[in-house]
Amino acid sequence: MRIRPNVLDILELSKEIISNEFDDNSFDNRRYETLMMANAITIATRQLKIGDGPERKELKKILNLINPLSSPKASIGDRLADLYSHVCLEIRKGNFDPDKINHNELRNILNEAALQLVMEYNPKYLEGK
Amino acid sequence: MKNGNIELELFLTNAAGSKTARIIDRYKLTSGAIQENWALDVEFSGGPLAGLQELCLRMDAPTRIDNSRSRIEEFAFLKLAYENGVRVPEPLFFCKDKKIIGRQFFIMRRIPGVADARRVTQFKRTIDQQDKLLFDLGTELAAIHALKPSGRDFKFLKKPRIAPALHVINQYHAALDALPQPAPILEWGLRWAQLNLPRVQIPTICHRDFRTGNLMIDGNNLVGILDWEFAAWSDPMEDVAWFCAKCWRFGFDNREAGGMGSRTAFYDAYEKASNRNIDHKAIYFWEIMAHIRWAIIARQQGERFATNGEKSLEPAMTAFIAPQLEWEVMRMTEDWGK
Repeated sequence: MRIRPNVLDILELSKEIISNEFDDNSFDNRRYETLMMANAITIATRQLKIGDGPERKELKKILNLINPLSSPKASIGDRLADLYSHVCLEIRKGNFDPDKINHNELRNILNEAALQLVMEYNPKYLEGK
Repeated sequence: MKNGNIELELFLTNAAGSKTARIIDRYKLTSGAIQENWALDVEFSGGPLAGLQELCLRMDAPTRIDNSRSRIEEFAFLKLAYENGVRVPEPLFFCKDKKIIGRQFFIMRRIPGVADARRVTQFKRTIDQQDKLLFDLGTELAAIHALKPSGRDFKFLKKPRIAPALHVINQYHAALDALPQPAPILEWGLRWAQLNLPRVQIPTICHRDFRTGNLMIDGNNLVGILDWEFAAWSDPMEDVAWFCAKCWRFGFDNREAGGMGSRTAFYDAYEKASNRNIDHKAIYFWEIMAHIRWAIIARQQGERFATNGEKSLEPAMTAFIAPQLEWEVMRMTEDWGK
């Protein structure tokens, strides 16, 4: 499940900044903002290339783990959010503790999801690890 | 900050007991992801501050982060620290009147040095210089942990009735509940924390944001400790761990103490000055909590844009640090006890 905000909304904001803020006389600030915009573009490009395959896979695994509550008509992201809300409650109640049968299965799903998101948002972080 | 130079000059004149105060220059400082800091060069005539003074104005950002203190509370901590000899910028005046610049603010002296974490960690130091800096940092942290707030200025400060770790877990659960998107990895980390609580320490005044980036450093010297907006009673190991956590090493993972040097130098200085032993198990616990906390803050920052529509790139992009922090939470909880 991708992180809010949607990176495409940040691209929209970047466009606004580029068109509105050229009177900014602080070079450092503009350089910093330009680097952030470049980073947003990189993430968006990566997400477009990756597509929704990983999220579909994640959804399938979560659906195997818990009873589906979400409407199949909703987007993958929304369905994952619904299902994960339920998972979060169950984690808090202790229903995925180390002595519970589904502990390892959920841990594997979360490990994989964590890795997938780092590969989308900052793959450099994994270099040398 | 609104244009109100005249109102601000009037405030400064009265607060400093001078005849006049003229703002010669002002500019926004880059430090302070949550609060706004402005440099002010002010020429005072008469009174104890007569002459040119280099000051810093600190004010609220448009959106507040959960559990961050108000400016008046932060000012009280800064005063307490200054009066007890902790290296902090001298706090001067507090302004409650929101009409002056649109928000409450306080004025402190501007101190020399660099807070920017990347510049601080990239600065070339010999091992001896690293050890000396970490000695100062360990000693100062011990001095913070010896602070004893009392009196009317600290009426707001409540001692938690439960162990600090449980109190913090409750706070983070509440923060997650307030987010519009579920964060299963952070829930996973908090459940791990509930099942692996550290030994309870006597609650101590903690800075709770003592890390590279909030420390003003001039070359090899610690000049001042900034950003007291999260100060509270807690477990002293939380501060030690926050400083050493991987997420605050800025890529210098082999320099485990804040990306600046060895843990040993920092720990030794802290233990000596505080007369308290480092609890290594507690440190590991609090380093996982550090990653959870930072991930929550990153997600909250993203919501300033996603939910509140604040048109600022920095908080929006901060959200995207969360994945690497959450990956560390999974890794560290798996490695526990190995």
